[in-house]
Amino acid sequence: MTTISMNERAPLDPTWHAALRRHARLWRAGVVMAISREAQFRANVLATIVVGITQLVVSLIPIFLLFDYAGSVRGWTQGEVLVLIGLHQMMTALLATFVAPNMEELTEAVTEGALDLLLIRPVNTQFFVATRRVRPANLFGVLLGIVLVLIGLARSSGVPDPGAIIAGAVVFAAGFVLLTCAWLAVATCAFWMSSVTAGLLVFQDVMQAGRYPVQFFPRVVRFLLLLVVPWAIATTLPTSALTHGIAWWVPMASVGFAAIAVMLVRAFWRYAIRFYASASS
Amino acid sequence: MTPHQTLRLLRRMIAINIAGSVVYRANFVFFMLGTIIGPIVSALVWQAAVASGAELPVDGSYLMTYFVLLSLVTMLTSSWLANFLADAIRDGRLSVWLARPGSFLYELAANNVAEKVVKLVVLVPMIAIFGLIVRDSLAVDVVAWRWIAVLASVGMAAIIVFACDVIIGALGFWLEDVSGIAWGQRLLVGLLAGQFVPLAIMPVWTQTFLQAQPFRYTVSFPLEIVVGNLTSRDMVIGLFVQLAYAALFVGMAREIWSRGLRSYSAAGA
Repeated sequence: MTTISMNERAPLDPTWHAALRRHARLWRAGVVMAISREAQFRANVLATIVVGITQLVVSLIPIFLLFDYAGSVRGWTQGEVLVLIGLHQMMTALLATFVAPNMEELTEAVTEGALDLLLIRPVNTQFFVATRRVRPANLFGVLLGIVLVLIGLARSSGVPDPGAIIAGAVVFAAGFVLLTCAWLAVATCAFWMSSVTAGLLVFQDVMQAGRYPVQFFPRVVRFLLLLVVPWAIATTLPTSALTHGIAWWVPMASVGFAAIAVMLVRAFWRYAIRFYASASS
Repeated sequence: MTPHQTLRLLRRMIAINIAGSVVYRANFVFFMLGTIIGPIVSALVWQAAVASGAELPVDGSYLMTYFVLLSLVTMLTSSWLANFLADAIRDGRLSVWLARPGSFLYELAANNVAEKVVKLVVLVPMIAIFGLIVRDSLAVDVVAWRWIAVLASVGMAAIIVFACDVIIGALGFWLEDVSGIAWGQRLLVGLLAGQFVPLAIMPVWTQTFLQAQPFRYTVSFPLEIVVGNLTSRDMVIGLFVQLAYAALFVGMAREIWSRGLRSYSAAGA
């Protein structure tokens, strides 16, 4: 019988499925910790909810005004744009919950040397820095978004068929991965720059454009919103899937695009980490 | 301190703050990109609406000119001191300033002016490029003397916004955290000032209120002088109303600030 003393630990199982389970356990532990932390700051949770509702109401004013003056804009009706804003709200809430807190900390970890302690842990450092912080209070925004999507659907095409819902969900999920990758790529620039906070703010400002269908914009902006900061995949395409239906290859292409983005951002991280000179030493 | 000494102090503080801001010039490029993105998005969206046959109370060139100049006026009239002031009150850093001949508000004002100088250098080329791209849709036909009115209006707008921020920051004398109030104020003022949508295209039933409320004079009014069809009479009346609002907000800020200082007790005070 093999016994393991306090000072000896069994080596980590190097197989990919064991690593996947280990990382999933780690992420779950982070979520549980975040929930217990939020429970201690209930006033903050309430403030986050009020902020979410107010921001959504204010963001709807230009849309209602726009369609007061025009029956449809570039083929989009008010109901369809409401669906899109609902999806945008869901996406920003998901990013605020799972991505934003980590990106804000990444710069600090690099510039102040806290990354040292993360690099020596038996986990994938990029996964850990990109996922360890969660702000569950922001998930309320997802509920608001769902309500808005339902209102928009009721005002436009009605209930979509299951195939359209699945296609929309797949493209939406691919959009989430793509936006996370884009955000992580900007944050990774912290290895060369003293602060990328301002760059991250610009990334957040670009989010405003995702609140409108890409067809509203000239070709250059459409290209940017499709390939550079892929809000078109996160909001316009899922809305089209739910309201008009999309070609079968679009969800597959979105997933493929997301997979390529994950590989690219992984390669970028590996390249960037070579330039880390440990600010703490 | 005599007014001459105060001016000399402010000049030195502005110079120091400019030197400090220049160190972070790359950050200012990103900050200004963020400032201009919102108006560009709005301009393109409303241009799409016009192209789709929207019948607005103003024409397409009004909207485009408004949004091209919006980021410049917003930047020139902006203030960001509320949270810094409340933090200084809470953690006792204000105490150091109480022993100095100049008020902490001078430092905040100097920082405001200095950062705007640096931001202006960065923002103007961006606006010029944006304006050049959409030059066919612009309509700036303003006689020379109206630009003087625009400058005066922007100056008074900046004073109103600064005084508002002092009022909110000074609530830190009595409240633990003012960030929520500051955030709510920014959102509400943004809407009422015409930062999200020009006030001219807001619903007719809101116009009487929108034209009278003070926050119109923080962004919309200076822009209306340039792009709107304000008669000379309306413009002069507007400038006097703006002056009255500026005096009102400065008076309120002074009162709240001096009351706060009298009740101040913090770490190191």
